[in-house]
Amino acid sequence: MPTEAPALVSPAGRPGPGTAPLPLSDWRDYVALLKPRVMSLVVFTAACGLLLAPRALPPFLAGVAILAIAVGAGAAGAFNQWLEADLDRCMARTRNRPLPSGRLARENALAFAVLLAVFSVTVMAFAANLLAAGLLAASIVFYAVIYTLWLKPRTPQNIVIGGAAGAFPPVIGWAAASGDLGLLPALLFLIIFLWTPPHFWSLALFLNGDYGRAGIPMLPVTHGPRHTRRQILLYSVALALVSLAPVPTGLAGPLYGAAALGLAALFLWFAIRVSKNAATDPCQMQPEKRLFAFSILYLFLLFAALVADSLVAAA
Amino acid sequence: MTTWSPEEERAFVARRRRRNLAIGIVLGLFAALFYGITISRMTL
Repeated sequence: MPTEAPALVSPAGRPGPGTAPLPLSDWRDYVALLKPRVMSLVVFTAACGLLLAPRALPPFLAGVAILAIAVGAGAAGAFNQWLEADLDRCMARTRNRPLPSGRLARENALAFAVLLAVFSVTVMAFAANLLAAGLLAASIVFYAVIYTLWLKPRTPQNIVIGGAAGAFPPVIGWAAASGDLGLLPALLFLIIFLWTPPHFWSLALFLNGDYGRAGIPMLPVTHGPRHTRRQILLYSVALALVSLAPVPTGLAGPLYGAAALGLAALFLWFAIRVSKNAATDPCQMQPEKRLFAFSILYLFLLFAALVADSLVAAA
Repeated sequence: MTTWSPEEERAFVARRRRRNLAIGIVLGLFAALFYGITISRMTL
C-alpha cells in the first residue's frame, strides 16, 4: 500500500537527506475534511430552495449549482477543521479527525480549503449568477471567520449567530435559479436559523464535558443545563411559529400546513421533555439525544413537505 | 541523513503516480464541467 510508505520526503516531494517527517494521508482524510454528514443536509436544503424558486434552471446547470454549494460547504468545513485543529485534539468526538490525529498536514488542509472555495464560487458564478456566487462566498467566509474564528471561542451565543451560516444554502439555491430573493427564501433562512440552537444545544448538553475541557463557551458550559434547556424550549416555540408561517402568508398550501403542524407539535413535545429533564449525567440525557436526532429528521421532512406542496400546487 | 529502501522508494513512486493520475482526472473533469456549463448557458 502506498500509504504505508515512510513519511519522509524532501520539500520537492522526493526522499532525501535532511528531510522532515510528513504525516501520512490518503483521499479519505480529504473527504473527512469536507464534513460529509453536514454536507448532506446542506445539499438537501439547497436543492429544496432551488426547486421552490419561481424560475427553473436547466437540469445540468441546476446540478452544477448544487455541486458548487456542496463543494462550498466542504470548503467551509475544511477551513473550520484547519482553524480548530488544536481544539479538536481536546475533544473525544473530534480527536480522530485528520488534522488533530496528525494524518494530514495543516498546510495541505488549508490549500485544499482555499482551492475548493475558489472552485465553488467560480463555478457558481459561471453556472448560475453573481448573486448566488456572492452568497456562497459570504456563507463560506461567515462560517470560517465570523463563526469559527470569532464567535465560537468568545460567546455562548456562538451558534445562535453562527447558525446563519447553515441557513444560507436554501437561499443560495433559490438565488441560483431565480437570480433574486423573496419572502419564501427569507422564511427558509429563518427556519434553519431558529432550528440551529435547539439542535446544537441538545448536542452540547450531552457533550458538555468535552466542550468544557476544550474551553469552548457553549451555553451549557457557561450558563448550566437548566438555563440551556429553557433556551431550547424558547427557540423551539419560535421555530414552530416560523415553520407554520408559510401557510398564512400564502407561500404554502394545506399539504405543507398539515406536515408543519404535526412536525412542529412533535418538536415541541421533544423540547418540553428536555426542559423537564434535570439530569447532569450524559447517560441520563435520553430526551436531549432524542431531540437532537429528531431535529435532523424535522428539517428534512419540513423541507420535503414544502417541495411536495409546491409540486402538488403546480400540478 | 535518512534514505529509503528500494521497497519504500517503489511505494513512494506508486503513490505519486496515483496522485498525478487523480490530478489529471480532476483537471479533465473541470474542463468538461466548464464545457457543459458553456453549452447549457448558450441554450438558455
